[in-house]
Amino acid sequence: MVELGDDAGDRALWRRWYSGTANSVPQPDVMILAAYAEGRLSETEAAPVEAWLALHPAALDDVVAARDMTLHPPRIAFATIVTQASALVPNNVVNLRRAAPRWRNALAWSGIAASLAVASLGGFAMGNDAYASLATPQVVATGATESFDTPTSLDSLVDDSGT
Amino acid sequence: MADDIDLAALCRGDKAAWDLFVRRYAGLILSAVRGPARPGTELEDMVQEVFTRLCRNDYRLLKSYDATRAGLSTWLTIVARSTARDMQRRRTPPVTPIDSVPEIAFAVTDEPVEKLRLPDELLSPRQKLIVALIYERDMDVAEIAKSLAIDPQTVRSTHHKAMLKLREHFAALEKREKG
Repeated sequence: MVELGDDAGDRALWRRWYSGTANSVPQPDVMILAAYAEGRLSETEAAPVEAWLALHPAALDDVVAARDMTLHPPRIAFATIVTQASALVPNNVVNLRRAAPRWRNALAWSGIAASLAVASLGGFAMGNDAYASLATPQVVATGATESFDTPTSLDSLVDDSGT
Repeated sequence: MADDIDLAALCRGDKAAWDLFVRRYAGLILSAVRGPARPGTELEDMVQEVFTRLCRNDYRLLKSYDATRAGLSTWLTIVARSTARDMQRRRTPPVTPIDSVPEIAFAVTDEPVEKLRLPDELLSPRQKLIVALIYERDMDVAEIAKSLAIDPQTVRSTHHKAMLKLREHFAALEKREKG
């Protein structure tokens, strides 16, 4: 049986027409191509898809492959592929942190500020205590404990130096 | 919902929904990218690129899927094959195996180059597609019928009508030129 494409005259005629026509048809989006593959488009909707396919006949392979894949879906993949693809989306814990409400952030900053204030006050108090504890032995060492603790003794010392 | 996968939850960043989606469709995507992939291509990289595209920019591509228009498997296959071809275009210069080029492309003819723009609407899109598959891809009637999910007789009659139109068009054109 003679195939349609065997006629050299027809082929030449087609080539002559094909080379003389405009070759710009907008590419249909993936969703439209998928719908076309499943035969869900009306004749009117399918027309621009077929006009584009006529200019890009290799793209028909995608349509055919998509249709076949639906009929015989493969289910086997390497474990490494699944692991890598799964890792593209982080765990929900991370997402929850990202989506934390503003009041939670405010609360966190308040806590930090309060901690700093407590630490500052504590440090100040501890500094005072340390000064007192350092000053006392020094006075004891100099033997001036009484004069430091009792102003009257200090007055008497002044009086003594004044006389 | 598509194939018991909650796409709405998936697009909100639900990890469990994403993992289920990956387990369910990794095999399909691997099989889809294998078609356009050249020998020696890292298929795993291609699959990873497909999944990356699906979740990139807050799942923009995945959100464009419309379950009322086509099945998820069909849509994913076209996305995967398109991604695979894009990757190959980026990585290697375009090379066409000589065996896949129709002989007509090499033919040297003495035919005059067409100066006039020919009317696109002369053939219907379906006629253009069928004739292009016959003469540009050298497909036979059975292959075309299977690819377009139509009857082989429809392919023959569509081709016949298309060629009649072309013959009439060029006959009228030549008559006008001579006259």
